Amino acid sequence: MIVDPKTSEHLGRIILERDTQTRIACFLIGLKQANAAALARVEFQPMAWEPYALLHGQLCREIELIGLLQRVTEWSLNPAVYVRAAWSSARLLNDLQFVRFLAAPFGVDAGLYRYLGLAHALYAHLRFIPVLPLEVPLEHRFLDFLRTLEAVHGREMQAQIALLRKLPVSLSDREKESIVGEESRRVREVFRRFVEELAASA
Amino acid sequence: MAFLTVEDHRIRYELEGAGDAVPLVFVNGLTQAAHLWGAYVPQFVGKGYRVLTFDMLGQGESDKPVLFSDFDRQARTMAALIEALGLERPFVAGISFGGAVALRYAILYPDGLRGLVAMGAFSELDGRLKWIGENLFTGLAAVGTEYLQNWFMAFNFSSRWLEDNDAAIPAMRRRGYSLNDQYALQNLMEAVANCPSFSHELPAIRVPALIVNGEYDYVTHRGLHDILRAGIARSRLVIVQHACHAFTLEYPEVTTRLIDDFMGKVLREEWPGDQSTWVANDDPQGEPLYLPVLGNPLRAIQPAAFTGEVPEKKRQSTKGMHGKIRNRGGGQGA
Repeated sequence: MIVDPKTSEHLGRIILERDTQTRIACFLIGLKQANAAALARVEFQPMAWEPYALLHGQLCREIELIGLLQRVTEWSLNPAVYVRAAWSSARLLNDLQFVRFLAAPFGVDAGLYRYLGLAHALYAHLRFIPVLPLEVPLEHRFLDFLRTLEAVHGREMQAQIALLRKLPVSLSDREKESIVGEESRRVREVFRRFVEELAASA
Repeated sequence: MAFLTVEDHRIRYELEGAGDAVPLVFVNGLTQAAHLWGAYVPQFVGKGYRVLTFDMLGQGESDKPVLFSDFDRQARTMAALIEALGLERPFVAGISFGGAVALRYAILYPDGLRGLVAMGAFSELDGRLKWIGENLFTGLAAVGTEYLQNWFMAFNFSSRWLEDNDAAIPAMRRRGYSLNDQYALQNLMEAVANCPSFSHELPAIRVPALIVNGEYDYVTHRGLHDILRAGIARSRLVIVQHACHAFTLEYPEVTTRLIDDFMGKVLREEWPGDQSTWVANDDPQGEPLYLPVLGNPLRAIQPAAFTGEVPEKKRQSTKGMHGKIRNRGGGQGA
C-alpha cells in the first residue's frame, strides 16, 4: 500500500467531498491532457505503422475519459481548490518531464521507448481504489468511475506491454528494464505525493 | 514488515520464530501475497520452526517487473532471500504458482533445502492446463483483474465454502484486487506460459518431498501431481479430501497437520519417501493421518470391475452400449 492505514482511513472519509473529487479530477485530467498531447504526435505517422492503430485508439480514449471525468465529478465551488489543483498539475507535469516527449522529433528510438514506459506507468499506477479502506462502498458514480478507469487502463496498457517488448530499438534487456523501472518509480512517487497531499489538505 | 533488495528489486518479507529454529519458507500462489499464510505462521512458530513468508517479484508489496519474469528468476530471488537471512537448508512449501517455483528452487539448489512440499503444483503444462492458462490470460488482459479473481473463486473453493463465506467474499476480493496489479499478474502468467516442461529435471530433486493435491482440483489435476510423484525419488502424493485448488485456505488444519507430520518425519529421518499415493484424513485430529487409496487415484470415478453379459433389463436401459460390456475397473490400488 502506498499510504499508511491512517491516511487511507482519512481518505475514505473525504473521498466524496466536492473538494476532493475536484482535486482528483483535475489531477487525472491534467495527466490525460498531457498524455493526449504526446499521443497526438503519432497522428503524423503513417497509418501502416503497426503501433499507429494502438496509439491512435489511446488518444481517442484519453479524450473520451477527460469528457467522462468532467461529467461524473461533483465540482467544487471553492476557487482555492482550483488554484491548488493548477499548482499540483504544473508540478507533476514537470516531475514526469512530459516536455521530453513533446519537444523532441518523433522517431522509433530510446525516446519513444521511454515514453511508452511512462505511458505504461500512468496506466498501471494511478489506482485510487486500493488506497481507500476496504469498507468504503464503491457504488457512488465518482468511485464507480475510478474503478472503471482502472479496468480501462488495464486494457489500454496492453499496447504498451506489447510495444515495450517488441519495439525494434537498440536497447539491451537490462536497459529496457532500467528505463521502464525509472518511469514506473517516477509515476508512483508523483501519485503517492498527490494522495498524501490530498489527505493532508482536506 | 521488512524489505530486502535482490537484483535491484525490493522484496517484502516477514520472518518469525527463534533464530536457531529449523526454517520453513512458504511460497505464494499466483494472486496471493504473504499475509495469506497468516493461519500457518503462528502454528509453525509455536511448533518451533522459523517461518519466512514473502511477496514474490510481481506480488503484493514487492517490486513488480514489467518486462521479464520466469520461474528461475523467482527461484533465484528466493535463494538470495534465504541466503541473506541466513536460513540454512529450510523446508520449502509452495502452492500452485509457488509450488512450481518451489520445484524450480529444489532443482536449481538441490542442497539448498531440507525438504519440499509441492501443493497444487505442476512441472509441465499439459493440454488442459495450457488452455486454462490461455483463457485466464486472455480474460485478464481483455477484462481485468476482477475477471481472474472471479474465475479463481470458482476453482479454488468448494461450493460449501463459497456459500458459507458469502458475506466475507466481497472484502476478500477487494483486498486481492487492491494488492494485485494487472500488468504484474500478466507478467507472472507469462512466466508460466513461457516455461518449458521441466518434468525431466524432477529426478534432480534429492530431498524428501510431500506432494499434495486437492481431491477436486481441476486447475492442477491429479495427473500433474502424479508426474511429480513419479519423478521425485523420495516423494509421497497425498490427496486432501473435498478440496479444490486452494486447499491451503479452505483446509488449513489438515494442511498444517500434513506439513508438520512431513517435517517431523524428515527431521527424525523417518520419512517413507516411497512414491506412494495416499488420502489425508479429513478429520484434522483423526487417526491415521494417511489413508490408503481405493482404486485408481487418477480416476474421478471408480467403475466396478465387471466382465460378462448385461442382464436383459439393464441392456434395455443402456441402449446403444452393446450387449457385452467389458470393464477392467479402477486399475491400480494404493
